Amino acid sequence: MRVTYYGQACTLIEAGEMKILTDPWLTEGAYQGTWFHTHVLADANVTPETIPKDIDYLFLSHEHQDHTDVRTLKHFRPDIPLLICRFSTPKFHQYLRQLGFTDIREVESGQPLDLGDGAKVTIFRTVEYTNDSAILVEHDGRRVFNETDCKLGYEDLGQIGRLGIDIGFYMFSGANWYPMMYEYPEDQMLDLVRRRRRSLLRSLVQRVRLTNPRLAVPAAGPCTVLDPALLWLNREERGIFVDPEIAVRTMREANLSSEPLYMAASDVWDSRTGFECRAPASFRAPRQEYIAAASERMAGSIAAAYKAESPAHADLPNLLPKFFNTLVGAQSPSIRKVINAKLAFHVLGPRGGTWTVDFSAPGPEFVRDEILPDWTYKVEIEDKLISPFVTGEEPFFEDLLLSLRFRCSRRPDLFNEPLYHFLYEADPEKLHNWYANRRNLD
Amino acid sequence: MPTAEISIKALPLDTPFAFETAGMKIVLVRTNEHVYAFEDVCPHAFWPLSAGTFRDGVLECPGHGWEFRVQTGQCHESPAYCLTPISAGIANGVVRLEWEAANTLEDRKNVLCPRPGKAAVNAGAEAISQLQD
Repeated sequence: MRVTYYGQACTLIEAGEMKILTDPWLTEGAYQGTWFHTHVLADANVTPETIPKDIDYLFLSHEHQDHTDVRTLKHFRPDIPLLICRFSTPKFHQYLRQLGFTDIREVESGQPLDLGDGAKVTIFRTVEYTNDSAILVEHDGRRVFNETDCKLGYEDLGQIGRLGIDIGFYMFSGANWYPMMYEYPEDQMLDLVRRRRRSLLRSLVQRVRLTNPRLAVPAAGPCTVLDPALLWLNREERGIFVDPEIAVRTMREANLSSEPLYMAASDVWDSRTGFECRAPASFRAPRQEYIAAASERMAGSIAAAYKAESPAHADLPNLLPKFFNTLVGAQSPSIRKVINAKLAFHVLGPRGGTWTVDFSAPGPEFVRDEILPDWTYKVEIEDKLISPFVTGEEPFFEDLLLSLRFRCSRRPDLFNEPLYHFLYEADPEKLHNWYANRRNLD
Repeated sequence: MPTAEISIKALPLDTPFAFETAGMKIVLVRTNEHVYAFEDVCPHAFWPLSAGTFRDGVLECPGHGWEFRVQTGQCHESPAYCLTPISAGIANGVVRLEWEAANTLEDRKNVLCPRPGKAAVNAGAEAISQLQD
């Protein structure tokens, strides 16, 4: 088998004659312009135009833009077979259908699928509320595991480990906005970041230990932020986006039986010939030096992209309340009680305003045109950024938060997971089943 | 109600300890003051907590770093989740463990607190007054 690494969770896995491409994100500036690859892919001549197109299957782990990138996907023929996990809702499937793909194959979690020519894939679904998955590819006694940034259960990881993995690609970094976008005093922020990074690296070590691959590659998770105004997010003491070389060092220090391997975009591993370094030398330059140079180089195009962003919808002040009234009103009283939040928005810009989504209101109006004094979660964001999410143009609300172009705070300072689930996918039946199964409803 | 016993001297100080009996997996944490006992499974992704770390009253899951306060069993960052407490009484240097039978494995994995934001009382915490080591 042979694997070419294209950054983040994107791997071209060649299993005999079969070619499987996973999570192709081959452009820069995902999530409203913020997310760049660890290294600018075009510098390694990795672009949607240049990568091989004779792909037999595309595997898409989940809907996040750094895994399912519309600008990359449009370079593939609409009838290319897409492999996705069977999730509890059809939202991801329907999204791919709307993009024009006609051959979408949903695979049951943990059920091997014979692709022919001796190649076999098994997709594993996350244990979390999200629609996320990982993939195992087997051929001729060799096995490649790509965890993407999916959080699998202990039993699935143990089962994968018992099979004997040749090379595994692992999530090694945080991929969200906590704690960086929150309002914390400096000392607390530094402590939270330090603890989060420590926890992420410990988790990496444990997952590698459990799956026990011969080679362990830190792959999915982080972004690099090249917007000059947000460069602080890349600093080790201020952000949770871990440098892959730190992940390799951590694995090495843990004395795992697996060999840690740093692969940069365009590097290759072959089961017969081993590792082949193909990435440009600049991809192995000291991290902060690389980021500073890349940011300087990209600053002009980032500024141009921001300038080209569409203004907010003229009717945003009516659309935002309508959007949340509909979503909250569709939930059962039990679910609203579980969420139990007062979600406040301070929207900046010409179509801005203040609103609070009150999950404890009797309904049918859940949105007030003010920030209630007892808000529990507050978001400050530009009108043009939130606008496409309440108009329906952007279907995945979490993408807005992943943009890192907002500030937020919460009272009390605790993770309200039901609120997060609601914002991730406010499907009433899915939410109800999730919490009913956990005996948390009236 | 199933029970089991373990010598308190078998429990390392401030270190999660795995104890399995009759198919029941239990994690014990002994501090200078208490012994805490829970089912040895994280409610998030079902990793064994006994492979995690313990510091400052917090048991950290090895899988994804979820943190649980042993005094309450409640998840620090996601308080909707709680560990399942095991009753732990101490007499004559022996920890006597007691738990509810007949829960399915799936039941045990998916434990949320009775109400979000409210801590579950850990019946497993018992003061150590007679430690002789």
